Amino acid sequence: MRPDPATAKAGRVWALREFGTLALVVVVFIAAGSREPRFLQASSLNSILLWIPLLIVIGMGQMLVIVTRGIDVSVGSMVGLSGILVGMLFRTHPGLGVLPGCLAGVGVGLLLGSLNGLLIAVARIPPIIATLGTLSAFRGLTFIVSGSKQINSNDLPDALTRLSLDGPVHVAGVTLSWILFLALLVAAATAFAIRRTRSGRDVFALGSNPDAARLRGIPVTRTTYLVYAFTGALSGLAGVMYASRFGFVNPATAGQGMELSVIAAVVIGSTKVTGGSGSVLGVLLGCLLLGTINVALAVLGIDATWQLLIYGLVILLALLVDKGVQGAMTRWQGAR
Amino acid sequence: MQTNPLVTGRALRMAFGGVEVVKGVDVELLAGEVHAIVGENGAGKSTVAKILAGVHRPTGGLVEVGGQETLLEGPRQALALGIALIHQEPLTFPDLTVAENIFVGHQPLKGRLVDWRKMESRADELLSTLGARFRSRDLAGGLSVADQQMIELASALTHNVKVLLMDETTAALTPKEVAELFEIVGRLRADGCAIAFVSHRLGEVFEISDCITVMRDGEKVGERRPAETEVGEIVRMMIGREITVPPSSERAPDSVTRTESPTFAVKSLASKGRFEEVSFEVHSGEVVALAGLVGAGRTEVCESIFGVRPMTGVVELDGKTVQIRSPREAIALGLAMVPEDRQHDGLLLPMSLAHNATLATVQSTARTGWLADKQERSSAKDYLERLHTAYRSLDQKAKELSGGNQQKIVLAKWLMAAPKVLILDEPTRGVDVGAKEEVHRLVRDLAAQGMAILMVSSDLSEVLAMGHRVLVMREGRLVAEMSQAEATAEKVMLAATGQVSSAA
Repeated sequence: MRPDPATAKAGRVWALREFGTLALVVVVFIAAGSREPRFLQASSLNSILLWIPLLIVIGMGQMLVIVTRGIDVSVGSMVGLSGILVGMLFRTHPGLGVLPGCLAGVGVGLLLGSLNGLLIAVARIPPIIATLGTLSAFRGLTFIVSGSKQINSNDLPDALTRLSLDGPVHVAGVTLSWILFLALLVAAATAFAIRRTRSGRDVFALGSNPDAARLRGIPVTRTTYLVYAFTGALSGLAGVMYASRFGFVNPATAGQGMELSVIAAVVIGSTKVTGGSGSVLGVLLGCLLLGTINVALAVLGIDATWQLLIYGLVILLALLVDKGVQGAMTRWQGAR
Repeated sequence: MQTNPLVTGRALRMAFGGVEVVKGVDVELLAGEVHAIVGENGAGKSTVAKILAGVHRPTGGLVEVGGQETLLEGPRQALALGIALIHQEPLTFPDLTVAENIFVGHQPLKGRLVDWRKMESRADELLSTLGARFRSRDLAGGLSVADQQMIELASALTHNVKVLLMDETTAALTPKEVAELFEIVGRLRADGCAIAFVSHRLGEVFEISDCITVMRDGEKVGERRPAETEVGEIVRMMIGREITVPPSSERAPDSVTRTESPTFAVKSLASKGRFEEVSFEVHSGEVVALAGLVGAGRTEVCESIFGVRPMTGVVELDGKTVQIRSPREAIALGLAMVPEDRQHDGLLLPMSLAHNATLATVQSTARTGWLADKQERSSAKDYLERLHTAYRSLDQKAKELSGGNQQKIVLAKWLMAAPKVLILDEPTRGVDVGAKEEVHRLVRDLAAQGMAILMVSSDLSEVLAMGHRVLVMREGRLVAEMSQAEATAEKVMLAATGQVSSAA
């Protein structure tokens, strides 16, 4: 399932990098568990497994965006707007099924992501600026359409909240929820698409060398548009998952600040910020590490305000490690 | 063997930003023929190749493919018609495998999915026929330039090319790699492909081509068969007849009152893969012209001296060995460099003329840590006027000026800093004739004031007019040194193209 078809040798170095992320998850577990044995109970694992599905889903899109040397900071606002709109849809149509709700979320997100894609691929606005603009615009729109009113749990169908509360697999008090499986399904589909479709390979070629991509006839505008539209669609789906997970959607807080966690997970997951390289497995591990840290902080009773500092430090640490790994690879190739 | 033209360019014209670089060129690529396009730097050779490959759309003239007038929309369409271009700088994707690089955009499919196994086996097959030392699953990022060019060649072959254009493909290759490349080219020729070979290495041109088109200043000066001509004639065609050494009044004085020790000397400079064993000295009051072809390593030498890129070797200033690790240190020691790409490296285009002109001296005028605005402006004005710069106001943005006037701003910047050693990289490239003369006069004045000047130039008349001494670089080495009296356009060109090992 490794989407990045690195050579055996180069692949080993990156596998080491991914192993490092996994090792860090274990370290966090041991460190937190030794200070607070409660952390090793099933409940915290449940919390982690409930916290990461949204991150995984959005992370798949964000990873591809970063592979093309871009960034999408509007994902949190897209989660909020999609969550509110789908919530309102459920409120006005109480009999609506969960699947149509999810599809509506994907549709809303696709629309929003398309706007990002057009701004960046066609109007050629730098990604950070374009999505910073839509981050604000989408959030504003969320307040306007909702009248600043929250979607409450009685507005949402029970079937939706059960997706998070329940799941097909229960092991020793740990529940693997439906939304976790949904997220893993998205991850698997992404891994398949980027490895086996031409468009998927175009994303990596574009990120690896944009000038060459243009001269070698890769549809650069279309590919750029697609990664943002894809990220939007996934953020829209994540909006519905948000409603399922929390049982309410508040226009101010839904998805707010989520861009930071997603970008952190993607970067920790050994996606090259200079473009051209990234893997689904890496992002999954990045999400797992971030989720573990998040829940560990909560169980240890460390104030939530510390989270921001720790996220920031973890992102920077990941970048420093990557720089080191890349340096080592260059030396190794030079010595060949 | 067929002789019908596969690709024909008729009266091709191309202009970039109002400057015409190709002025009505006809070229015919025949099946089973290697067609060399030669000329000095900036003669328009690469542009012609890029037009034929659909990279540039010509501003005039037309392209015929197989006798049909064709509007090439882009490289993709050209490829579909069997026309491939191998670029001077290989266009590879460092993060992708060799197989992916070869098949990018047209991977073999099974159904609608990329068939990796087939892609890799076909790539390996192709690579083994090309004699490659790497495999389809290697990452392209770690390969040498020659290997990367082989990837491009392999990629072209997967497209079933009928016309292969090579833009200075041999520039970065070792002789052995060139021989391997030529063997492949020979096979393609035997298969009935048309090959265009842009180069300025005349030895190679004579070795491989069936037909030579010579270009100069964007025009085609002639077409020759190698058997009917000789290197000397081609060189004369390349440099043209109007290159006469300027009248002695305009030439720099022949002899310079040499100080006992040179102001500036470098010994055994080397930078892996770029240049090696470069040693020369520049005396106070002397202009040393560094001639050579694009890619000979001249700019790299200048940048290394100035601390922009790493190198090994010794740099001496006034007889003392100095360490220069960054441009900042170079400036502090009294060096100044006017880079080749002034838009990119020399000017802050969106900033005002006043700010640009005072950039190098801002440390000394801003004594208190604040910019001394008034003082800055008055000295900037003073210098710009001395340089006869045409500008509206000191607050005008640098990007609004013409190339010549931009160059004067860059020069003004360094004049104010009054360096001991001035390095000029192509000081008059893209500058109109009038401004060129002014820049030349200025450089002479600076030398007369005692500056030691190293001037890289690809313009032969400039080299001959300005240099008290002429150094010639070829493929990363200094190959010739001539006094002003010895230097002729032909000698310099022959040394630069490698026809004589040394002219001095």
